[in-house]
Amino acid sequence: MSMEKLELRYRQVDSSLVKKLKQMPGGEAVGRCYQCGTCTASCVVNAILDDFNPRRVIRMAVLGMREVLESVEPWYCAVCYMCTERCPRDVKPVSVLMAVKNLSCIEGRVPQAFRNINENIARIGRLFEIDDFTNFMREDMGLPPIEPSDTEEVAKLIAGTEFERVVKGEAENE
Amino acid sequence: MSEYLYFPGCNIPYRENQYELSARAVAKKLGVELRGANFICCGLNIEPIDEFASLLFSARNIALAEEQELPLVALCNGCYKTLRVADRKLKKDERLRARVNEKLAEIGREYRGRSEVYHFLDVVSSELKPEHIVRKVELRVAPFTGCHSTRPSEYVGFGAEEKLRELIRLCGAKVVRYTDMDKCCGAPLLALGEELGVSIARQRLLSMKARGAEAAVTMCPFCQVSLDTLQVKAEQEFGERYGIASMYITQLIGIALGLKPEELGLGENKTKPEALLKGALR
Repeated sequence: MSMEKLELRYRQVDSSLVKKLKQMPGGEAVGRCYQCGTCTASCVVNAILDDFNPRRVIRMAVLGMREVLESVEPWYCAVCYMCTERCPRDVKPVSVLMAVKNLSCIEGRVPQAFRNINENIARIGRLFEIDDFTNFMREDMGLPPIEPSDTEEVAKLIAGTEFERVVKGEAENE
Repeated sequence: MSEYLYFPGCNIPYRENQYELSARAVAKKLGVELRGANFICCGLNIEPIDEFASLLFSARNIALAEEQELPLVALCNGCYKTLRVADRKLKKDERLRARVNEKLAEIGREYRGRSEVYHFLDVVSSELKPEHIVRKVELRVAPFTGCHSTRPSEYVGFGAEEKLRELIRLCGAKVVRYTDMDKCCGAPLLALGEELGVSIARQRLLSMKARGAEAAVTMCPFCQVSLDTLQVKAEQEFGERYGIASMYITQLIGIALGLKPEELGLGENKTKPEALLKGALR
């Protein structure tokens, strides 16, 4: 990277990013990271995909680089918690990445795959629709039917939450 | 006679019904009663979007168990972890509980912290005794505990690794240890691309094969999808043969309890463990 590019990047630094992250549930300990890389060395995703590097995501967040909020990288975390178990500074990398994703959502950025999944949950209360055919198969196996969720209750439960804004597309990035 | 409220989750009724079938069959044999309720998503998939909304889903489900004055039991590691973490956080943090209850009041419910969240393996482990076993299954079995039965250890855990090994031995099978046996199955990445999930599943299968495992036992629908459904795909894609018959621990136990393969839904498993099991009975 040329010096000019680096300077340009530093001018884009958002010094409030760390502060915001520390206020999110899960992001509290982000400042403790001393970049040892234990998280990345423990990561099953990094083992097959160089582009996912939790140590780098945390570093970028600490430096105030807003790119982390625009990147799909944090969404590749498998949430296996191996890094959280091993982190010598108790940074809880899984939770920090969760906070980064929550913050991205507040700013209106959600990868389509995650939007689709959560649209289902908001609409039917669960990930997959259990239709008559599925229940027929269950009955055939000798299993009790799965009742449809109380969708009215789900709608009331999520009313006014950030989750509702995201799935309704109201948090769309301007 | 112990009684639990059974939390089915989203994955099991949709594509892994053999897990519920075999769990119910084993529960019946052990005198464990599983009751039902109208549950919604545990909250796992909502967490990256909005942690607070995820807590609302968990708390709403736990409130149902409290209403029936029963402990909650999950078959899925993901549901177990999500409900358990929420329960622990809400029991500890009064302010958070007040915020959650403000929302729950709008649907006429309340979280009071009077229930407890269990994984079904934990229940089976305390109920299954050597005298229940009517036949031995002589197989070399790779145990696969998955992630969320043991992590994050700040909130979850019941000695799943040891209990799973113990149950395998009770069934007469030999436990095979292998490289990275405590690592992720890869299934959480399926939403972002099948090839990622398949690549990770392949690594686990290769290390099981390297140690001479004939079968794998799982305790989570995500892990089973990886080692079973994705195994078939990995074999096609990589032109390799792993030969690991993948089944739920409840299916293995069911066989050792004398249940028939069809009572355990073994025909649903993509890696066809039925023939292998038949040949291993003593």
